[in-house]
Amino acid sequence: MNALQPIVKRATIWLPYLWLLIFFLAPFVMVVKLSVSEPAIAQPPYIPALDWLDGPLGWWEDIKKFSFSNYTFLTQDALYWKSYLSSVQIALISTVLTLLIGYPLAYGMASAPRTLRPLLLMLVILPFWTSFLIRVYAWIGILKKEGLLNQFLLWLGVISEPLTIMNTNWAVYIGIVYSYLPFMVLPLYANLEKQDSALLEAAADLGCSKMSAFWQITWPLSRPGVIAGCMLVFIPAVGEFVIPSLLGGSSTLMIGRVLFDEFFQNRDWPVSSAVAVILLLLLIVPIMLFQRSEVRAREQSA
Amino acid sequence: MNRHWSKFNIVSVVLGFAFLYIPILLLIIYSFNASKLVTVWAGFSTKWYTAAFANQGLVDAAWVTFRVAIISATIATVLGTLAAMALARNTRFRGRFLFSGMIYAPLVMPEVITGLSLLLLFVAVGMDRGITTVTLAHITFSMCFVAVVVQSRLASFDRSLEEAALDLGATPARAFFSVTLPIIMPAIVAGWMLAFTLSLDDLVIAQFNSGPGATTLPMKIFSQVRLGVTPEINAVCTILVGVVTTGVIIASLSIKRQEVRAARAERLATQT
Amino acid sequence: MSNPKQPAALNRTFHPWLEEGAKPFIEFRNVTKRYGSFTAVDDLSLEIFEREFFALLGPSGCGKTTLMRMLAGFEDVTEGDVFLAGENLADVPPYRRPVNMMFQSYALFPHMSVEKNIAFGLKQDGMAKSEINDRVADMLVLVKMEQFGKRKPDQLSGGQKQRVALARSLAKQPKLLLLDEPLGALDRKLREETQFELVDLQEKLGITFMIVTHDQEEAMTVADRIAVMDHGRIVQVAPPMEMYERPNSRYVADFLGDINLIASKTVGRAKGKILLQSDSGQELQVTTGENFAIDRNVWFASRPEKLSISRKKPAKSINSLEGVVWDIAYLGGVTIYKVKLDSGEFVKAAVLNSSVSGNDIITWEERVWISCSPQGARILTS
Repeated sequence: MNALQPIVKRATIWLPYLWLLIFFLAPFVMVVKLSVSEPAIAQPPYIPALDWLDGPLGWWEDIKKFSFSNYTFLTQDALYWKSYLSSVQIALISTVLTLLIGYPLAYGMASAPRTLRPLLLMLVILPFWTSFLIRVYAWIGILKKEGLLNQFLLWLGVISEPLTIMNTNWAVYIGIVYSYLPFMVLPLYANLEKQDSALLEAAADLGCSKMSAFWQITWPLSRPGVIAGCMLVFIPAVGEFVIPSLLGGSSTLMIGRVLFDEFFQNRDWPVSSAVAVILLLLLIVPIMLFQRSEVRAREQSA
Repeated sequence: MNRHWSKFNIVSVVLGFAFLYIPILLLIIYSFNASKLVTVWAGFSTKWYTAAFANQGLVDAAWVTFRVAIISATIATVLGTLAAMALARNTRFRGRFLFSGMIYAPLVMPEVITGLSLLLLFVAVGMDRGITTVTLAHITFSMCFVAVVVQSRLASFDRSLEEAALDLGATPARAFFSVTLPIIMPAIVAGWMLAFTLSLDDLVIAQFNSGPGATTLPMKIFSQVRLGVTPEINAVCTILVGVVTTGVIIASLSIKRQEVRAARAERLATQT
Repeated sequence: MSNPKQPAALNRTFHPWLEEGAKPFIEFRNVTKRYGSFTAVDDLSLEIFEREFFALLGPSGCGKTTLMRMLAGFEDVTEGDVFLAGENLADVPPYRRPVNMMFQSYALFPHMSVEKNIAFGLKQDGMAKSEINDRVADMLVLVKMEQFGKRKPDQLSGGQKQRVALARSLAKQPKLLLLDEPLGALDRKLREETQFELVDLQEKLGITFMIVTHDQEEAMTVADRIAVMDHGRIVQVAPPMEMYERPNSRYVADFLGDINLIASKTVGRAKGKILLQSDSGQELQVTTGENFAIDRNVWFASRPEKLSISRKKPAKSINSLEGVVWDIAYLGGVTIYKVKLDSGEFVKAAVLNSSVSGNDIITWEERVWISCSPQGARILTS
């Protein structure tokens, strides 16, 4: 073996590791730190809570001065906890809707003739490559009061006056389902496609009807795909910003939007950091669940 | 799975794809609308494309976006491939759990959090916000996507090929560059493309981390969209969709061909 | 397992297929199955009787699996009819057929324990819980898996999975059990043991078994009758011994064991024998009850174990051919000599090693005589 080998090997680990420590983990420390700082009218608009140059003794002094006022502020103003709650609710409803649409789609793709499957897979992935923003934007023209959906429905005669969908939670659900559908379909498809068709034949052979075989065999076996898909939709949807701000109305409370406005409009960096910290705590359990299921899936396939 | 493709299956696939594609198709169709009213058809016209190209702000933003995307995708691909190798090849090393956590978490992390936290880092170290900070931010989250894509290819990679190269006298580095790299190349290319489009698309993280003179195209589009739908934006979006779609289709066709060839070569090489 | 019995075919007097007017349990009547332009099963008719252990034997792609899957209901019949106990199966979905199948991959449900797997079919019938438990326990005893009821399939060895799959397919007490290459995934030793167990089990339960295999030894060990298939057609149906001793074609002769073939021509008849002349001019004789036209192109066929090998020309010089030892394979029980005849053809002779003793054994490049009694040879016409 080459003497350089261990060094090279270590470098392949440490280079990305270090990068992520600096640009992914360290920033979170910053967020936590800032969330206990006092806001100020300055540039940047806060008084640092912890000065790294103070040295270990100085840090202790700084820590004693930590201000939790930002967090108390979050509990006092109903806007925040209502936004958290409503974000989780909207994300949950959207995730269930995405599953309801995504599962039959993935199932249909997995049962398609083998030669057709790569094309179908490509067709699911393709929208994922096109800009998220554009895809959300495309719905504005459809959902507006004088938009294409209402024009179409009026023309069909299904409705007599235009529906109000734009700027409601329904528009947000549609936007989330639409944008995140590929994230749901891909893990489900990967799972369903791998399932051994002999299992369903065995079930039929043992006297199980098709419907019942689905619920007893296919569905329980697809659980890892369902979990991965739901996590891929739910977690980012909770913190979604673009969809509620383009499609939602003034009554659509979502925490990502609150954080964004807090930061850019009120320029209250410490409070937006506190909002981010709480959001992260809210999502840490689903994120760890997701990581565990991913690692397990990958180790199984290896 | 090999089942009967029932009517129910076909209907769900057709409806699913209709749902996925109709909005984009409508957007493209209405970008050729002569009327300024986006939802009323008034004949075919390409005037909005001319208008879009004449809009200096849009063109500048496109140029910024393009540069950021190229640079960040390239660096992210290198880092992501290294990370994938680390995860796939070293099942045990200190901090592996944290490492894999840092790879998978950004995939689902709400963008507002990633954007905000990176901004605070840049402010803390006194970096001016601009193209550099946006690029660094994009590298960080897109390298994780690259890592996942490349890792799944490495997982199915037959290690005995590399061992055979070592056995035949290749140094480890040589074995990597002459055996491993060509075989995982399609995945690396796919990873690069993914990183490129992620960077091209990103709005939220760029919003937090860019400064004056570094307005990206999504930022530009977003600020205009908030004021309402305009045919000019439809035209810009159509161009973007067109460029990305053609790129992806061409690339995936060539990757497919390469993969088929690589798979055949690998099969031949491992036949006993 | 510890006391392997004689193969089924030898210790039974069970020949329903010879009985006049016996009603077949399964009947394929002019069945054809096409996939697009490919014909997997070609105008095939076959009768199988109750309590029979029937083997479908053939190379992969010969249509044997398709034939079995039609019985289970996983493949539609393009033309013709399939009957089970007199009932046309055409419109009976798989889950309503009194037939169970043991899958080649076992198809055990990975998310269910061994017990749940075995209970699955019973639950579908709405059997009472206590009854299910009893039946599952019986099945576990039957396949000697009592201690493994709570395990999941991925915690079992290949042989154990095979037993669970067998128990699951037997739990519903089907009238017919289909076995699709049931032992294909097991190693040789275990496979041989399991073959005898299958035979015992089938006798004990009195169920009709139909097995698909490409392994001729397996088919001969377990089956009452074997059907050899090729290109969607049945070439021959016969009990193992008959099939081996009296193959109806070179294809069957070659598929079941080894055969030496010498292209010849019929030249005359004498006292229950047919006289042949090989293409290289050698005179040959075959004892047979069949009649053959004179001057017909045929093959003189003889199994390696029916040939004897000697340094000296045998006294009775009928069917004796001279040649050189080309290759020797010592297989323990027997030694196979590959001899190049002076006519240029190769033949194989199997010599039991019980008769080989001392140092004076025939070795490479010796000139030898190969001979075969007229009773030990057959004439094959196709």
